[in-house]
Amino acid sequence: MIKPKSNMIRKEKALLGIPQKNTHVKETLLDSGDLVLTYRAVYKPFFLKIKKFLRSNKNQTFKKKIQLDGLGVHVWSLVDGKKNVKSIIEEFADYHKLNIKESELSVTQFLRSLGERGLIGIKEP
Amino acid sequence: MPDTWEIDSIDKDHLILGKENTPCVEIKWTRRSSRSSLVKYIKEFVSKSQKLLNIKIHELNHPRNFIPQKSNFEYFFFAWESATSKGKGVLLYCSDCNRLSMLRFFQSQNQISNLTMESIIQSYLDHSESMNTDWIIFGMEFSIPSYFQLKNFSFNPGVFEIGFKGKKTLLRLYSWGPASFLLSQKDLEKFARGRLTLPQKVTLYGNSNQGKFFQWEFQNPLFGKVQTPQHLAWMKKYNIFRVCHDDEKNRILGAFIESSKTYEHHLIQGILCDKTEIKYD
Repeated sequence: MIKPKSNMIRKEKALLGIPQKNTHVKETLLDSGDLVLTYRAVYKPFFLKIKKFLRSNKNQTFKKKIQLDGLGVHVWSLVDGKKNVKSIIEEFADYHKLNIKESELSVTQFLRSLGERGLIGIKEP
Repeated sequence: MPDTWEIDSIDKDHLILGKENTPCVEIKWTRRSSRSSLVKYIKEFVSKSQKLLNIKIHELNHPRNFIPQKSNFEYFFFAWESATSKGKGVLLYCSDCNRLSMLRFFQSQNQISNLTMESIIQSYLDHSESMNTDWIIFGMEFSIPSYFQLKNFSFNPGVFEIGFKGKKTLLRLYSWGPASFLLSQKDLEKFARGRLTLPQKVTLYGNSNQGKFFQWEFQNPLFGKVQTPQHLAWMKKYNIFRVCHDDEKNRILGAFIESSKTYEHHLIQGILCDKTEIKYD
């Protein structure tokens, strides 16, 4: 038997958050329609130690790229700093004729991975 | 059930349907052992549920104007409340299959009317009345023999998968989407080959009432490229894999059947591409 999820309210609140793009991200559109996002990432402590040992440059960050496919590009385009997560999910589901649950799963997972890389932040409503 | 209610969670013995991330009804079922009396069994079930869910359950009289539609059911109505929620529910005992089901409605969160609740209770069936069980889940609609039991399911971005087992036959159903994106750079056949190791030769292809489909029938060798010895031939499995592009729903539907006896043609016909117009290769 399943207890009602205690994170229901948190989830509802999270869906009202408004994703904001990191303004330092560089976008490059490829001929294939894919989009390459270039951003700066911080070295992990282990690699910083190696860098220190090797006495290489003191930069603590490095350039990193991520390539978005057609679906990723669509979600990225929906992140306009005005729409909240819920409306992005609905718009995405509507456009691709997806079940709302499926759209929610895909979009939230994608936004989470963008957030973990520092490509977006979520503004509280 | 109201159209807006979606499956939140499903397992072998429970189902939660919700709307906009709040639960609407929890359905839990269990089979009564023949030893205990029904009253004792229900008392134990109620007491266990109260502890597990941290709720209080009070018995209720049958609602006024409630006329049971099914003679094999015994109904026990109740009200329940927890610190954050409350509602009504019913325990249904089926004398045909000895199954006890609990339907618990989350009324305070969703304002479910008594009328909706009663119509759900009246329409509830705990076992199929025909040889087949009909499933409608995340846009997939299919009918399979009742002896198939739900084994597992997974819901990942872009693909929903559900597995059944019955009489030494495994059945896995897939729904991929959006098809417009998945088939933008490859055709349906290539897409299918990317999902499973399939023989070069397509067994069937054509158009069904759902859309274009491809089907493969094959036996996987037991020892790679080495021919299976005659005395181990009984270990071979008969596999069928069919993919179908449902243009209208923008989905790709797939069905994989693994049987130890024979190719289960009748089964795949009932699941995907009913009324098929088949072109033989």
